[in-house]
Amino acid sequence: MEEKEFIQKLRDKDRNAFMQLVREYKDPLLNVCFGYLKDVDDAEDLTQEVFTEVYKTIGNFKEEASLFTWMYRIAISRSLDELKKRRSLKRAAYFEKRVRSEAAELEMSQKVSDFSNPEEELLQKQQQEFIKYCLNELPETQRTAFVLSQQDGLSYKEIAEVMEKSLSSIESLVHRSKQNLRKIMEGNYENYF
Amino acid sequence: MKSNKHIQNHLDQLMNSAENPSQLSTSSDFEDTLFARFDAIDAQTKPKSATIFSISEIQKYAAVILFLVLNISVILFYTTSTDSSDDPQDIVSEYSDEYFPDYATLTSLE
Repeated sequence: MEEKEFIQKLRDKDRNAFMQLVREYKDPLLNVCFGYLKDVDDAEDLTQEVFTEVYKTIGNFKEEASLFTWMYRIAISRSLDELKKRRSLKRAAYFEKRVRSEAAELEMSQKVSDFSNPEEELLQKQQQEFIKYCLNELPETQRTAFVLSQQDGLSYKEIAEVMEKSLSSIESLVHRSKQNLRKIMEGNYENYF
Repeated sequence: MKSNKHIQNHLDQLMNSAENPSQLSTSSDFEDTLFARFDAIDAQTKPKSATIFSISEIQKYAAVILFLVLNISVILFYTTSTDSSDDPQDIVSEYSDEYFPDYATLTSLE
């Protein structure tokens, strides 16, 4: 089916077309959101929000970019909004939530992995927290280029379309983001481990 | 204390985890939840029909009959009433008395 024809079906709110769209893009979009939020549940909620926005606003889609590019842009902008919202949360509220979720996670991990090594699990968690912290320290464009470059099958050309930049600038952005991430990791290593 | 080599090895490992994260999949109820949200959006945006289209046939007939009865009774009331003040001659004399009180005198002088 041609993309134009498919988009028209989406505009007509054709459920089969939406089912096809969701099945094709739910995992890639989930991974983009997770790349920013580093929390599976939050990333899944945000992916739902992205599809909901697509459902509501497909009538306004001008086809200046491909459907895939448009959806990725929505996912990135929603993820960045979510990160900004989190930063503006009051410290107390943030810590309260964190304590609660950590308690719930601990309870869950105790249920799930009775036989796994708790020390190893703690280290894994610590490492994830460290990576999350270091990624958040990257400048916004570098972080976006880095997150998108982690996606399976997302070429530099596609990243360039999503970010509205040239191919060469994406190559350089991804390269710089890796260099910077390494520097940030080196600078903060002692604080975490 | 960890040696520099050990730290560099660990950092390599962490960079590798950051660059090649395990690919996630959505939960099993993702689609059901999402399509329930689509249904809720449709329900909100669906145009509501006017009240007249949602009432029963009997109620519609009753409303029409009531409307006719009220109209007929109003027409009958006004056509059967014989109020003297409606006489055109009286209205003219009332009007002239009010605005031209000397009209009778003036006409008698002619």
